[in-house]
Amino acid sequence: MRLAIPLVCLCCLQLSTICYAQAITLRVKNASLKTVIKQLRIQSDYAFFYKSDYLKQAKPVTLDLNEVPMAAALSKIFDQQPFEYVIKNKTILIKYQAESLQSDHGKNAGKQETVRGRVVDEEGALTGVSVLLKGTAKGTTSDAEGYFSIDAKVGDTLIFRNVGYQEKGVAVQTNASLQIFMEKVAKGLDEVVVVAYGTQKKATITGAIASIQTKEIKQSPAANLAVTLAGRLPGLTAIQQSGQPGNDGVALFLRGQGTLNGQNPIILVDGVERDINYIDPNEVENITILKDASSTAIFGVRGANGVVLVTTKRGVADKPQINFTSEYGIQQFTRVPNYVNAYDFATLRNQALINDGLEPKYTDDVLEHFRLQDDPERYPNNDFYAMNTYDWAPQKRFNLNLSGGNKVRYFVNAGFLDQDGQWKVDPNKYGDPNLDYDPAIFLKRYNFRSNIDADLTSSLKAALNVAGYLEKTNGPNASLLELLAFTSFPAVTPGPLTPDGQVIVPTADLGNPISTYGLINRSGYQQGTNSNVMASFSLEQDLKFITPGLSTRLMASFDTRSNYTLNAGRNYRRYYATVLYGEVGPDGKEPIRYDLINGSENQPLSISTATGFQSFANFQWFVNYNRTFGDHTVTGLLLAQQDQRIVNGDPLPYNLRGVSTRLTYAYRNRYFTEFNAGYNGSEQFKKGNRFGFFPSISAGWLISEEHFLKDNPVVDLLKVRGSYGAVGNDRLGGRRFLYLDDTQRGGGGYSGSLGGGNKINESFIGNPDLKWEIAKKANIGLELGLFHQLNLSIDVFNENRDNVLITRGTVPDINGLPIGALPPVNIGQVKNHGYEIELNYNKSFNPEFSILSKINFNYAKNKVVFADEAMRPTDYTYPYRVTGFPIGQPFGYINDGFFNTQEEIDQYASYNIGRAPRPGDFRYLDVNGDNIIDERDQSPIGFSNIPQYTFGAAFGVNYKGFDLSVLFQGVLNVSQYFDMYDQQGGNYFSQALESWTPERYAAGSPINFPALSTSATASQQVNTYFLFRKDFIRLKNAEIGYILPHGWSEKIGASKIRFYANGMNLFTWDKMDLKAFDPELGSRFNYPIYRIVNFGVNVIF
Amino acid sequence: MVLYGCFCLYSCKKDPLDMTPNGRISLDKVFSDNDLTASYLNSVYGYIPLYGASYHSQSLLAAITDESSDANAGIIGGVLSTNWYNGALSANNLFAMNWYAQYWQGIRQANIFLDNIETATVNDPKNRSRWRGEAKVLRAFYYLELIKQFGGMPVQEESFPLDFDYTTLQRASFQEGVQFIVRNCDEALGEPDLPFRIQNPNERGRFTKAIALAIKSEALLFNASPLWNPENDPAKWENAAIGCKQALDQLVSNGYALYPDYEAYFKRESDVSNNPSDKETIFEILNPDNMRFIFVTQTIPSLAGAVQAGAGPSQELVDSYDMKDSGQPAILGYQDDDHLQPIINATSGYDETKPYEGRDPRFYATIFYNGAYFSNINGTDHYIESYVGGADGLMPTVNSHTHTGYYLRKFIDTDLRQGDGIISASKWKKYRLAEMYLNLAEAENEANGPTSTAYEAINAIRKRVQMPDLPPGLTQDEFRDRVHRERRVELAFEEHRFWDVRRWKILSETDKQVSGMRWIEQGNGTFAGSRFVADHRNAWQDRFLLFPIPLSELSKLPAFEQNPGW
Repeated sequence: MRLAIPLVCLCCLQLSTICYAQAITLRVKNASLKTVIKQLRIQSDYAFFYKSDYLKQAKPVTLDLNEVPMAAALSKIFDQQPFEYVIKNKTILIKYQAESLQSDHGKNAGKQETVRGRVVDEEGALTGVSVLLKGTAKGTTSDAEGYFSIDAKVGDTLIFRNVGYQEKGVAVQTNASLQIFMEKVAKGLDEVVVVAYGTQKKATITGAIASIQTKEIKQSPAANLAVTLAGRLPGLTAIQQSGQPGNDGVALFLRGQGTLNGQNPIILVDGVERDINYIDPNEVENITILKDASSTAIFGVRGANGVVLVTTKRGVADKPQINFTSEYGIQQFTRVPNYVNAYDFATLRNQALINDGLEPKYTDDVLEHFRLQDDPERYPNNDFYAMNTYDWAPQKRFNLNLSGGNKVRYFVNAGFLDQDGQWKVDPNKYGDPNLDYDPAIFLKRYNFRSNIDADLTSSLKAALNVAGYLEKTNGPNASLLELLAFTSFPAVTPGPLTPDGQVIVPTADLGNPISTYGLINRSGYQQGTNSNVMASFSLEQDLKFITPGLSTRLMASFDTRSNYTLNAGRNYRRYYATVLYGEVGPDGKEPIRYDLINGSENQPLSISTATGFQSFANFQWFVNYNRTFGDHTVTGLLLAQQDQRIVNGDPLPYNLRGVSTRLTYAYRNRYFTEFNAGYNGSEQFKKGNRFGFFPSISAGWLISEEHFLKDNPVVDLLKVRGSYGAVGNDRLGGRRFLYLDDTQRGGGGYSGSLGGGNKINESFIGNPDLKWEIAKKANIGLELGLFHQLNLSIDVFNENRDNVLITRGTVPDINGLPIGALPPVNIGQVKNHGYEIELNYNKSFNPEFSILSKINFNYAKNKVVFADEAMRPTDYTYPYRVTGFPIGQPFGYINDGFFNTQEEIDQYASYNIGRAPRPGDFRYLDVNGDNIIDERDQSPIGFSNIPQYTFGAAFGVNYKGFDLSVLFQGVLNVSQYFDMYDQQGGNYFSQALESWTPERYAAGSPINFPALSTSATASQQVNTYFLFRKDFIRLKNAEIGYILPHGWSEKIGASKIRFYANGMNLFTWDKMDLKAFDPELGSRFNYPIYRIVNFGVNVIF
Repeated sequence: MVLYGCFCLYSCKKDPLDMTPNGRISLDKVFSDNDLTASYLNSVYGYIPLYGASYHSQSLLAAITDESSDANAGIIGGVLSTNWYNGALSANNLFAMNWYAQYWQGIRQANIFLDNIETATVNDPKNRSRWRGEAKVLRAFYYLELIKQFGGMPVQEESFPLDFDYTTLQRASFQEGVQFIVRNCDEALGEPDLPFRIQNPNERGRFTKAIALAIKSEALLFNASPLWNPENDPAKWENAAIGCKQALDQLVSNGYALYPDYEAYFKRESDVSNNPSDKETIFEILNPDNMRFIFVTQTIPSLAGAVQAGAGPSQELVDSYDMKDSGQPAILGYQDDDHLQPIINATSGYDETKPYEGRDPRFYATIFYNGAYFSNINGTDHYIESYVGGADGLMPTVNSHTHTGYYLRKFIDTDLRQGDGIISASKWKKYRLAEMYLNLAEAENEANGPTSTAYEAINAIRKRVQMPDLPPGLTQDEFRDRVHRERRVELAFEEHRFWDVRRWKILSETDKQVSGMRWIEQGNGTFAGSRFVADHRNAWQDRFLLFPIPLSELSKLPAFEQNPGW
């Protein structure tokens, strides 16, 4: 039972011919059918499927064909053969002629037989297709190679169902093998995409929308769903700014930044605003982003920043399917700081002291000891980063889900994530019996979800989604910032422990006497328990008794989240260690003096707790209408909703209400128009100003459905679409009720004798005229499909954000209100424009070999048009620092090399920016030419920390049981200033080894760092030298999988077993000079970004 | 379908978008309630700076004067002293010295309070008078602190309306500012129910007529000083002399008097009663009383728990103490710019090899020098070892040891140990009677020469510490020099020197560097001392006489003139 394997190389050759109409020329005499088929393959890009033993029964072929179409050629070739053939797309199936088998039909009727067969689509074998015997509960699924067997009688009907394919019913006519060809529905014009509060056929979409499916999401082993989006969706920028387990800071931007206020898109999970971060990727069916006014106007006052829709999986009527996944991953920091060793540190510190005209601290003798490392107790070489972090940490993940059902359909999922952190806990507690707790960093998250759909009557459906998680975190009783900051101790610092096991902290001149080791191992522990339940119940009633196509739906959702944190802290003994260089102890070596830090002593744990609670209730009422009258199709949606959110830490609930509508009209499936509008109110505004109407219109023309293009072999899709509309933003930087004064009586007044010790806090002066921001968005899109293989989609957008709510920048302090209390006004203006290009290429050479690629390239650039910024005096080169520049534009000095001699300094413009320059300091450009270097010379340098260009490129190959996929992700035009000088108490980065010295300058050695100093220098101004371009391309994800042959998996009763390995952040190519930090990392003191290499197995029963 | 109904009911009941009531009130409500009106006055008090050890990393303002060299300077990046010595002050960055906005906030709230107090609901009519008086003194206080630092500012008696057009707002002169301050103080002094002294401990820290007098005295003195009186207008000095005299006389006649023990005075909290033991303190900073614990960590390294040495007194300060017996200055000046060669007053009795013998008692109350008795530490009497290599030895590269050879003694309770809790509640004295004497002595001398009034004022200060009276017959210049010395010594480390060298316009003479004394052990318990430069500074140019108006402010006030040099 093997299929012939088409030759890969032949297929490749075909690529060059696919552009031409396929004509066949054949001159054969008594040739075998096999030879003929081979010739056909050479001359066309058709694939042939047949059982190899069929051809043994073929008759020899004699033919003379000249440039005839394939169909004609086939009919001639098979004229005399005992086979029939079926052409499906570019695939030709060859099977026995039905009539030659019909003769057996009568005697087999009604007899119980095992029917075998195979399910394929144009790309090859289809796994997991459910095969049901109609009218019974009997069923099976196809195996990894598409085969199935089921007990059935001739005359029975088998129903084949697979998600994304058209259901197919096939009558059993013989006991022969069945070849079932299934057609995708999720292809081309019939593909259904998720839109706001519903779904629409892709062909009819007139807005700018992009989406990804489960399969792509699961190629990333990231613990956080938001991380998996990076590079996948055109128009979405996802930046992982921290890698902290349970707290990965992923910033999402849709089409860059469009406002000076809150820029987060709203995120809806199954139609309700919810958190994306904690969702198990196995639960997700689809993630869709809505980018333009047409797709977001329905969200009205909340839609201006775009919308992310997450749709979870639902059960389909099917035989129960059990899906089990187990994964084990290894996490590793992508970058670690490149601190110097003890010898280099001591040498560089001496160099700094000499530069400052001070005595070097380390004598040659001491340096030699550091170099030789012959006495580590007195001359330590401590890498505090390595000392306190593991090389890698494991991440485990298990998932079990069940789906199926009939009138009641279910998708039930349980997931477990176990992620360890990389802070190293010392397994040896040095005999301290008090330490009976575990400060190890880990995150354990238990997810569950149960999505149930039930057909209560023929016209009433109900759905219940219940999902949630329980999350346990553990770690030392220390802040991340502290842990990271104290890994930068100079390598010469003794530690981590005294000979009798007490913590050593760095000497007094380093400021704060704690150590990372002490924080992890001695400071106590912290436990968090977070739990969350999300529930939605909906009823949908078909109202066709009123008029056909009318239905209504009601949905009520209720979510809660609670947090509990337990802090168990303790004081512990800490010492300064001082090596008394120059003195001699009893053992003939320098004595080490240990001075107890005053007030530090070993104490038992003391416990405190904190709790938090959030809840969210949402009601939605839909009326839907969908009907086709001849050439005219109309749909309508009317939605009313109201919700209330109680947020942890904010005493007042957030309320929202509004109605939305979507009306669409299509004519002959070629011309589409849509009207979307939201009318909703925000509590941010005064009664009367509260409700706003946000309309959008859009239109599309599906040119490829016109008669002049229809059925042409080259262009299978050509569509143009455009939209224009207004969307609002009421997210005004976290502050609330801005139309009201906030004057309150508070405690803590100056004198207890006045007003009972209270005072009056005028925290805010309201602006009763306040309104929402308005984003006026225009979008033009073009979609092009060629040869059923290549799809190109281009969107160009322009956005003008008016009424941006800002605090006036021209009100001086003299007015006596702190900036935060000033009433904001709707006067800001921001422009944003850009484009997205998406290119997909899918090619299936035969059922067992296919490739796919998906490339997106995006650009968004914004400009602040008006921000009420006070103009600096005219002698400033740039009188504005915000107005006229992109949001977040950094300003600083333009670097012009180093000062190499005092004469150069004397002849150059004078510095008025702190300490006078010395040889080895940066020479900054005197931009305004006044011969003084000062604030007046500050210029826009680099880019903001949100990239202007983002791109992603995914490639995949399937070959037999193997699959391989990769995703490259990249960003361009993004900068960040890394202050590398905050090291007077810390270690040097290895760049300092190439710092300026007179010797290096004289020798012409490379110089990569300004002259060292023990205090602030003129080089420590924000300048171009240390403004790093954070552009990068990285192999974001890669996955390789192998599906075991069916025979093997069958032995354990599974229909499919797939082994795979995948990874995240595997390789990075970037422009950062400082390889100490990942280019995505938001700040030096964020938890480092990690890479994961992950191994997993997926078993489907 | 029933649910539809519920939904409608729920949503129609009331507008859910109205704010859930949370206790917000309007200003009208505030001033129609006695307690809330009083609470508003509490808010007006909320902008008084901390002073004392609060200038970034618990530093003292003295750390950026020629009184001391800060041990943190150059070692801890970003602290005030490091930046200051580097001359890094700019209109973009005022470091820990930016109270510009804070003062204006205080002035705004005082203005709003004064706008409303006449019509506000006040249960006791006496309170209306008292509260009005307090708000006026507060307004004068914020104004004086503001214009001392930044120069003349618009005189603002009402809060700015929200739509005020700032583009044409101009600065007023320093003189106009002082007139406004004096008017506010005078009006407060005329309030029948504003007390002269707080007698009820609950009311500790409230403003009084005594404070109004102190503010007036200081404001008039500043107005007449060279910085604000470059043409040396005698009328300004005349005014100052009269004002200072009036202030002192009224204070004395209302029971204010010098506290007998100079050293102990700074280590205690003033007591509040109708007849307190501390009759000297006019205004003590109320909150937080941080002075009491800071000097447990900011002291000599021999004391367990010490973290930083803080501001080490300079040799220049040491040199300015007179000899006790002769009453004469020990050092008259320096032969060189680095202050390494002192001009010794041969007739004073000063011996450069034994510089710490026979000095003004205030020297011993202010400065720890090599060999000075500190206190009993862990059962042993500890004498300061500030010689090179000593336990408290001079170490210019760490911040836990002195950079000058001296440690601060003033304010420090040497018996206090870390963990002792609050046993010594010393608080910062913002105004005390001694300043009023010195203000008068200076103003009187400048206006009328060294009259008996001037002599009496300065000798009152000296008498308290058993220093001989100034010799009679001094010229006006000689008397001026003695007043300047007296002020420096009496008010050392009390945030006067910083402003005095500015108003006297002698910054370029005093602030280029400070020196210290390096003692080297010679064996057999003797030490040899040599003067050395502790730090060089780059903040002595004329532009440092005034702070720059913050750039962010200046760009919003196009008609404002920046201070010279910025």
